[in-house]
Amino acid sequence: MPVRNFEVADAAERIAAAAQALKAAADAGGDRIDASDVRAQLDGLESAMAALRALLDLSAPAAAAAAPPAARAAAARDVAARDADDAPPRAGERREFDLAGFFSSVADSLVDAQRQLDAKSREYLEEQRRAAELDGFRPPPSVFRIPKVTADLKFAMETQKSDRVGLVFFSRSDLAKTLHQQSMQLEVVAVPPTPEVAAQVASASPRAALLLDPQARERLFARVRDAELAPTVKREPLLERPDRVLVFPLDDGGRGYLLAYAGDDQDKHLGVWNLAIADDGAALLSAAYKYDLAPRRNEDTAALKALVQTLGERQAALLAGVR
Amino acid sequence: MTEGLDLDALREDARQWAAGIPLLADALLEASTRRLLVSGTASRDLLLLRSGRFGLRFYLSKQRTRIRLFRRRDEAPQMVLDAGLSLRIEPLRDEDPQPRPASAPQHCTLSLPSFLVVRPTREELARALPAGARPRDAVLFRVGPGGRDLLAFAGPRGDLGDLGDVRVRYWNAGAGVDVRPHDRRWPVAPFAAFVRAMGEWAGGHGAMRELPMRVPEPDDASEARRILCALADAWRAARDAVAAPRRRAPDPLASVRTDYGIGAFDAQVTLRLRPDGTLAEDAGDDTLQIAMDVAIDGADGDLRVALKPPDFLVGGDLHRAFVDAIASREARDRIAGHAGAQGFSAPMDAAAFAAAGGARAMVFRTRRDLRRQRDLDVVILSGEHAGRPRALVVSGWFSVVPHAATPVTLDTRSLEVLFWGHPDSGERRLTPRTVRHCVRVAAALKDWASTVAA
Repeated sequence: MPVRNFEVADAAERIAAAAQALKAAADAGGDRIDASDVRAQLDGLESAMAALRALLDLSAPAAAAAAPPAARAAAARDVAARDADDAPPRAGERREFDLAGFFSSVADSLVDAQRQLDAKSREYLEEQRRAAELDGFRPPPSVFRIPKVTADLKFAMETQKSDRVGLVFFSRSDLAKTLHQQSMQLEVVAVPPTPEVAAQVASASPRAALLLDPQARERLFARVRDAELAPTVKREPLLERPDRVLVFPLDDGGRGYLLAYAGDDQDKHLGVWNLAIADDGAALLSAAYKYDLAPRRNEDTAALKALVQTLGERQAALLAGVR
Repeated sequence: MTEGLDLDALREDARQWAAGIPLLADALLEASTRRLLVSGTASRDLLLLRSGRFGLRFYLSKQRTRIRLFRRRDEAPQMVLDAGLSLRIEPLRDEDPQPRPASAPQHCTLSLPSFLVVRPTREELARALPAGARPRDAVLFRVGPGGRDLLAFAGPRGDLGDLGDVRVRYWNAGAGVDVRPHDRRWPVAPFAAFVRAMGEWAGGHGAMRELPMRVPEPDDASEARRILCALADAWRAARDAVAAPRRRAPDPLASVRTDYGIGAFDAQVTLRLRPDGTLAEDAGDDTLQIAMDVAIDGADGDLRVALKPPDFLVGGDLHRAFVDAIASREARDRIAGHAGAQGFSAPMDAAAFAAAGGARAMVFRTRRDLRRQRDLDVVILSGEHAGRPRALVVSGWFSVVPHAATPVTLDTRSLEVLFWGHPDSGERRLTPRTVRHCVRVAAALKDWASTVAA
């Protein structure tokens, strides 16, 4: 199923950020580091990659990810088992692992299962959309979700160690029947976040807000027209298609803005401007990245230009509807 | 077989499992947060852990003066005490008290069947104390309808181990008699009343009473109390682990993070006792079972112990299987033949009574044969036959294989009719083996009530 390019770009950004966090954690860890030092970052990276795979509907290395929940639980156990020993388990072999890794894997498995459903939901909605184009009938949109999970695990424990619990899972069913004498039941429920939590997540998430209010934008472009220009700066590109200019307020007081615009044709038609407004209302327009300036050698601005262009087009479409 | 672990291992197990719950809850919350940050997420639900329950089985074995713990049956010696621990962890409610620092339990109680007379009155002693016995050497039971009758067993210095030395007195219908065997056969009525009282207890119908108990300590002389102390330690470790400080939650979701507490902590230990009331050590020991149910709750970990009937079946699938086993054609033929040979009247009626299925049945184990994986059980059927109260008491070797298509198999040739007739009959029909079992149960109850509650 085709997906929007900006979604892939978003996911790729998160992978890059997670990889950067992993590198930073490794750098901070000294000469030698333990897996525990970077586990959280590695989890983040794997999660970001899994999100991209889910988005693209790729099930490649994660045979477990495409498997039913029971197989996913087994995969989680194997993941945890690898903490204790890198070699893969063989049938009938006893394995032990640390509980922290085990519980973490259980949590990730549950979330991954819902992520798979998210992908299926998107696929289903797309199918419905296509069907509607053919026959005009469109059922109410539906998404699939896991409301509740009850996990029931059977296992054995080793006697040899008193200072930590050694868990043993048996692959052979005959051994499992006689030796799985311990049990664990976990009940997990999925609840929608309250409006307060949703608002907190929204406000806590770092994001660059675009100025979209048509009246505020009109006032802002009036300022652009009247602004004093820093040396060699041109304002004309901003006035070609104001509806495609991305405007990022830099503070809550309306004293500074970052404006980005990408023209349609040449690579050099990409620019970023600063608009600063003084206490007396005087505005100064300066360049953050100069428009009409060809990229230097070793600079590749194509992706940035495409991003500004795409967002600009979407913004223009939106503003056309609310003018 | 391995050496096993100290009882302290129980505390460590409980701590680690309990600690896993907040760990999992936080992992779910972190994973939920990551999902919220992913664009294109169809469902933005948060995953919350509602409850966690652990069912842990372990085995205890007495090795000289020490009690060793095994986490797996295949690592333990043949003679073990089966034990189970159930730990339920759930979110704290607003009204729940905040967990306090670990402390010893403040309140301990022992729940006993009311028919066991723990502190007999002067009048009860006057009625039921066997001639020449000291009150402290006797154990009294209230039996019969409404507990109006008394049955007492006494032995030298309280020792009921040797049936030859045991004196028995039965206060019934306003008169007391010393119960003695004749020609090695004992009267039916006192022991039928005792078994009925046991059956009511086993069936959960008998009244119970609670006695205050001293807080168990690790160096208690009583083995049962040392086990109780280990369980109380495990409870405290679990509670402290659940309430331990946690990593900082992701900011947006800190408000939905849940605190957890111990919702329920229950344990059951099946005690295998030697005739002298001490824990069995060897597979060759002739043992009797008493189950000890333990529940710990409250802010301070109030500890409640209930002794459960030993080796008694009064209902359930296994009970039904025993009844079916003696209702088979081969068993009925054997019952009729043996009842006739023993001189009971209407032996064919005994067989018909066994097959009718309308009788109340009680099954109790009087001996175990671990080597041949079989038990010597007594089955008591009571009800009406031809309009008159009747009881049929049989014994035989049974093999039990739970969950098999035929879970109970009877060695028909071993089947013997111990009694067939009116249940309150004064007939002297009971064998020493059956009476000895009743006396051992009585002695175990007396000993365990005193050692556990001490």
